[in-house]
Amino acid sequence: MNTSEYPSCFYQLSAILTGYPETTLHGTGCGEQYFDKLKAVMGEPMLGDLLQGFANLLQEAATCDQLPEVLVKESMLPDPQWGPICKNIIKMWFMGNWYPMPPAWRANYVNSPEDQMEILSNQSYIEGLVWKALGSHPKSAKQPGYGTWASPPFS
Amino acid sequence: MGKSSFFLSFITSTTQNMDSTEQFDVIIVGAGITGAIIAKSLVQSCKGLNILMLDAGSGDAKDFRTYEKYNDQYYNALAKTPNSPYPDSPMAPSPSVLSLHNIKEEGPITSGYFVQKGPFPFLSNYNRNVGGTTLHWLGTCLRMCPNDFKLKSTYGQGVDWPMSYEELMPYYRQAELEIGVSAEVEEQKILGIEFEKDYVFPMHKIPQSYLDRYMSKGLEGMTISFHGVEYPIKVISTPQGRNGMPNKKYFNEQTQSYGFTPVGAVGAPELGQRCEGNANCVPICPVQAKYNALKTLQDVLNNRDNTVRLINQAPVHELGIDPDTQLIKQVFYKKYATSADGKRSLISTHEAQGKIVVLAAHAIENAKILLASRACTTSGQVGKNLMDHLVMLTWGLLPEAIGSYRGPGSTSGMPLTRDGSFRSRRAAFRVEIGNWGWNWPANTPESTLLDAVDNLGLSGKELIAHVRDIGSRQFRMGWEFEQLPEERNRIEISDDYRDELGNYRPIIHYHIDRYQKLAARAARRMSKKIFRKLNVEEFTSYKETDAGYFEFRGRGYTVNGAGHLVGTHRMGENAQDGVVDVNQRAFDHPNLFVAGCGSMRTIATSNPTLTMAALAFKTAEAIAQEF
Repeated sequence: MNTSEYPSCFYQLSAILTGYPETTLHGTGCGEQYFDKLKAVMGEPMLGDLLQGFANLLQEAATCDQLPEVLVKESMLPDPQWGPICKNIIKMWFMGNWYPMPPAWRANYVNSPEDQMEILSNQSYIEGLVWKALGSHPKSAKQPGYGTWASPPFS
Repeated sequence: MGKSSFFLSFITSTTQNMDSTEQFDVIIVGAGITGAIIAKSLVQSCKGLNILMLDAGSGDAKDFRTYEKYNDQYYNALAKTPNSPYPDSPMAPSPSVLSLHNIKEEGPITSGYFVQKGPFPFLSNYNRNVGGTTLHWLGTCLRMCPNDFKLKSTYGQGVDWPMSYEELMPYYRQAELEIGVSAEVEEQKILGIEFEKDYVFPMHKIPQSYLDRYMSKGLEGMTISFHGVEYPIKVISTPQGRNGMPNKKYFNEQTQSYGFTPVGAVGAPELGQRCEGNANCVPICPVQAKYNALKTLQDVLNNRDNTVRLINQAPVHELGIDPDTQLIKQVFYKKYATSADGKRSLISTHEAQGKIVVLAAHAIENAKILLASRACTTSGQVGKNLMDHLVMLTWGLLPEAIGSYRGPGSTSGMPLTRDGSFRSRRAAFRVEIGNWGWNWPANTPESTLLDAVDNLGLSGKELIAHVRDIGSRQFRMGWEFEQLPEERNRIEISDDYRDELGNYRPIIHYHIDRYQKLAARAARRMSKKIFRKLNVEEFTSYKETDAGYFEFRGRGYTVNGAGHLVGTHRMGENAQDGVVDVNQRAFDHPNLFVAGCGSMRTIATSNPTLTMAALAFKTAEAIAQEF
């Protein structure tokens, strides 16, 4: 895979990790920001390894008729190197924040000055998918209108 | 939350003394709701006055630009605390919930703004900027009930006020107009609270949340027994300062006409005409559908019959008192700003003289200024009788989705426990139903999401389903206890503790007593009863390390601060009994008014802002007599 394919691969991985389709992820307008943050913390080589590893899993899924979701869950998430990264990707999409990597990961892999607790932008706060999952909207944005709080949930 | 990036602690400052003393008819210290209401009332009833308003913090009431920056700051705040959207200068710091810790475990609190000697932490905070704490308040507008003014003669506890509910009624009406309160009068005729014939609130009640109605159905017919008396557990809409549907039957006494026009955002009046469900009242309503004092200040600054100047970044540190007449002769303040290159603070000292001086800087700041000035010494009560509403939270999961995280923070409560014979033994409490899941007690939905990913190892569609299921069933209740006035609960000042401008930091001594602890026990019993009836899976958890943790009769409880600071310059019958009279005029200094929640003799169970606003109207009436 060459580096120009990394972003689209990142979206494919994110869709599996978050459970939301790529169109939804593109719709947030925050994908590039999350990709750049990941690259800044891990460095491009490791990012390439992550995405190549994922691409390999997709191929495996196709050949042995397995769902990619299952393979990601079974082999990437428990992995000591890729698991914490995948979790941070999920957290970025859902909360709009970068959370510091666990101490063990920093000790064994990368201890980056970019790896600080951070709200990535106003937009990432607003576009956090956790609110969509709740059937609501971010506090202080995307207000649904007067009286809407009286209606049944998810209506 | 944190220091404004403009103020660097190592920069050098330039001090400049202004040599002339400016003269004013009225000087108002504090541009929050009390200062704003007094100023507005004066400019409407008088002509040709020269008024100076001084505020310690930043901001203005000119246009929407500054407020837009507050919204941006909120989005970017790591810890979304009540003060997180607003400026916080080391030159005039605001207290922060982030400074709190368990004093029993870790000793006095010395970091931040408050110095807290304990033994129990004072858990509330306020905001020192133009607009004051109404910037971050929830908007709850409850009148005190008649017995709240006579706790001593009714229940043998606390003290009586030198005024009654009936005397404050016409001022409550004015406050409800100024703030713009949404409620239905018929369902607010409880606890002995009466209204004038044909009175209605300016706007109809804010629609109750789905959660409110769900609980109402589930708890129908339920009662609880306290002290041998049955109290209905009834869900009732909470009157609030939040724009809703105007009530055509509302009679405006000022314009002598029917109807009410909601006031939208300052500088963007088409915004905030109705609550739009931003679900962020605390800490900031992005469209200003919620009342804030900037709306009142806007009217003050737009009036043409009087001259009003508002100077911000100008905390007052002392009053000068004439030794013979005891009149306030000077108001001393320092202005702070940053040089154009952003490298130096510019500080200058000023004095102004007012025929009438009004302190309206909030309970603790007012007391601080009085103590620094050695003013109002006769009663010995300045700084004492500090009271707060301690709020115990209980929370859990309902058996079905109710769609939390929608609408105002609270649209209803269970107010019928606010008064009763049990008050002879224990504190009353107000019950608040929270619409935002476990946001307050457990920082959800963030903690729900992190727990699901880190601890439960969820991802993808399973994660979405989990967040959807758990999140939409989360709810919480707030149990708001009254506190009795005690001299030992007080603020003091000392040369050991000063801020970067050299002004005093408040030193707080604070206790909670048996009267409140018994209430916590009763509240817990009522909460359990409600949770059982609704089949709630309870998740309430109190930890010994919580700042507001205490034990009582073998059980642990955690309380939080409601943000209500009251009592530090109490009203009295005479100079021995109180600091101010029923008009909030200082007994010791004929031209000084000390206005705000500090004048309240008891806190009872209503959020104090509406009562404070009513008192402000009464005070303005008294001041107007001087001109």
